[in-house]
Amino acid sequence: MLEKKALMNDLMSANPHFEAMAWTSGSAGASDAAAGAKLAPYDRKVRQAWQEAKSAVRQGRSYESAALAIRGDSGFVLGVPDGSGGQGLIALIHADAVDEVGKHQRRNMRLVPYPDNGRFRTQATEPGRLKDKQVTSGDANGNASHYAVNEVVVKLRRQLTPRELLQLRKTLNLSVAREHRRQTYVFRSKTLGTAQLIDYFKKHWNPVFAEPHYLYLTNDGKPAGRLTPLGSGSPLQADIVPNDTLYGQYQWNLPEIATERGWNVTRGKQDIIVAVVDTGVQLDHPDLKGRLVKGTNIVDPSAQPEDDVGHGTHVAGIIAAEVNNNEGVAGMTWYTKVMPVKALDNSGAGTTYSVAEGIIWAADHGANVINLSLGNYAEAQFLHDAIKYAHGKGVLVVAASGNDNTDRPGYPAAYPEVVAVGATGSDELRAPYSNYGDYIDVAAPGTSIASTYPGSRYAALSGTSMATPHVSALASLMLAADGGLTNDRIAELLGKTAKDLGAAGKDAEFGYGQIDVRAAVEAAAGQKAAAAAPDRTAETDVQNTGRPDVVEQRLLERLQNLLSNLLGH
Amino acid sequence: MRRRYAFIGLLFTVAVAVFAVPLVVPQPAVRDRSASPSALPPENHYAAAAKVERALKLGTVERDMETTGMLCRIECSSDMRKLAAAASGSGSGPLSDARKKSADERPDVRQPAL
Repeated sequence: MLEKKALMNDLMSANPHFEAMAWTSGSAGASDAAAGAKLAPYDRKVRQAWQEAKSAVRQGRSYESAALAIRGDSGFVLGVPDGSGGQGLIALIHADAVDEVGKHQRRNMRLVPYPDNGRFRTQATEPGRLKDKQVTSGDANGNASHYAVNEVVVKLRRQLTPRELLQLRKTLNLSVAREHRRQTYVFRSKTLGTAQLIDYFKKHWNPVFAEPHYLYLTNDGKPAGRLTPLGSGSPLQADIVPNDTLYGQYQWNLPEIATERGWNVTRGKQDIIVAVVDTGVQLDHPDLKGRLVKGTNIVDPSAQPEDDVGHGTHVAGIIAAEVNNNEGVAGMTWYTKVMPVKALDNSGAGTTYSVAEGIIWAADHGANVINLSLGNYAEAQFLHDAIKYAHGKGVLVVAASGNDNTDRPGYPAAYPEVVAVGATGSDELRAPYSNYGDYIDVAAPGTSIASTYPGSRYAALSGTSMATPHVSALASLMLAADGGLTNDRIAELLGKTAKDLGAAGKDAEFGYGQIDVRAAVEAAAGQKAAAAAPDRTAETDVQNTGRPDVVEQRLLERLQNLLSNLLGH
Repeated sequence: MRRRYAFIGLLFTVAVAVFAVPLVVPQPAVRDRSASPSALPPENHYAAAAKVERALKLGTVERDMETTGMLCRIECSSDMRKLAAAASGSGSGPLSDARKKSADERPDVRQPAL
């Protein structure tokens, strides 16, 4: 019995949401072994459910209670017989993830003012004007751009000398909150407001730019089957259906975009890295721990990039949760690595500086793709510089469009170097929260997406934040199919192979359409084959998609869309 | 007598006109509160759209919570089945696999019976 108790303790320490557990034998006596909390202090309904579970298990039946209240959260009792007759396990589970998801999603969907810690103000809808906007409701929060009070980001034309820094400290009561590559500074003042700081630097220092320190917010069945050996069959191979516990019933998103068929072409490669610049990742989540590479914590450089919110762990799981391990969920890739970069703090928000630093760090440390499930409505040159830097290094940057059902461009998604992602539901319609506009490049499933969650748990979340990692994961699969693809070529192929939804051709709701994994990886693999063959056309095609041309082309395309929209109205 | 009939006829015509005109000509000042959002002035249209959007978003959040509850039940149940199988010695789950691996690697350590 001691061994059974040890097994139960092991399970409970790895999964703290198991509050109490008991092994019951077939006899009518007391439980043979128990672990965790005592039942006496719990509500009568909990104790009653426990007795019902015990009785069911003794009769060789499974038991599942209705939802129960545990310390104000949700919970339930399960009974699982061991199949040998009259024995089995009973457990009381504190399903606090349910309530955390509710809280988390009300913020991600901007149904409540967010963040609410008073350290930030919100800017009125006109970009570049620091006109305060009262945020008293989720609706008001939707179209606002948050910035840090009393802070300014200044890019100077040269590095400040220690004497100049001292002078600034003395005369303006300024401190350097952050310094980036000796030219860009985040100054914090005890006395001056952001507008005054911007005025001062513009008047006296002729900066490259002086702007508010903006804040970026998170934009939050089939039976288990067989595996087809990779590359062993015809192009019409059967779908690969993984055996992960939650796959068949809850992961509608992967079959929807033909992921299983795409896995017949490639399942990814270990040397392809997707950086998740977000709230961090639960580093020892059983469905993720083998898929992470070293990351960084920009918010607290002395700490590991652990997730204290839940958003980043969920995003990471969509890309890389272990596939076919009989547990939890399946990610979109089998081998792609995730680089956790914690740039958003425990409120789920991060400043221009931390997001930009995260992007630069990821680009400098080998990321092939950077996933940005975050956004704001203000253009920040510092962030744009960071994106251009990553793009210039060949990294594909993918970003969420936002959850405010608005056509106002969100950043970083609307920068031309970025693949902007909108969200769809299982009905293949634009999700009701998803932002839209001519800057949207592609759409991906974003509603009710099951993935990993801190505390070694699983959760379903919705948002363009959830749609974005589908695109990042697909980009990593395309790179696995052809490592020679440029970032712009990947962006182009993502659009060309997308399933056209909504109005024919590119439109404001879906961009080029919903991503199609099979078509995209086949196109990527096809490009590799074409490049290997002595085909002048293919070579010309590759040359013609050189980075600057493609960016110009996309800018031109957006301008044309904008003009046609204006003329249309 | 003829003048009297003419007067009565005129009165009748005026009465018909007074009652019939409001039925034919729409009332200009009264707004229909139950009209569709597009029929409302812009500020009301915005408010109606915001209300609908809020309801849709709340529905999405509720569905996420409900699905998370289901995921939790299924995953917990799966963990318990693996543990039950391992405890009864018939399992091939991670716990019994770990025991087998441990027994292979360290034959000098006695594995406790379950």
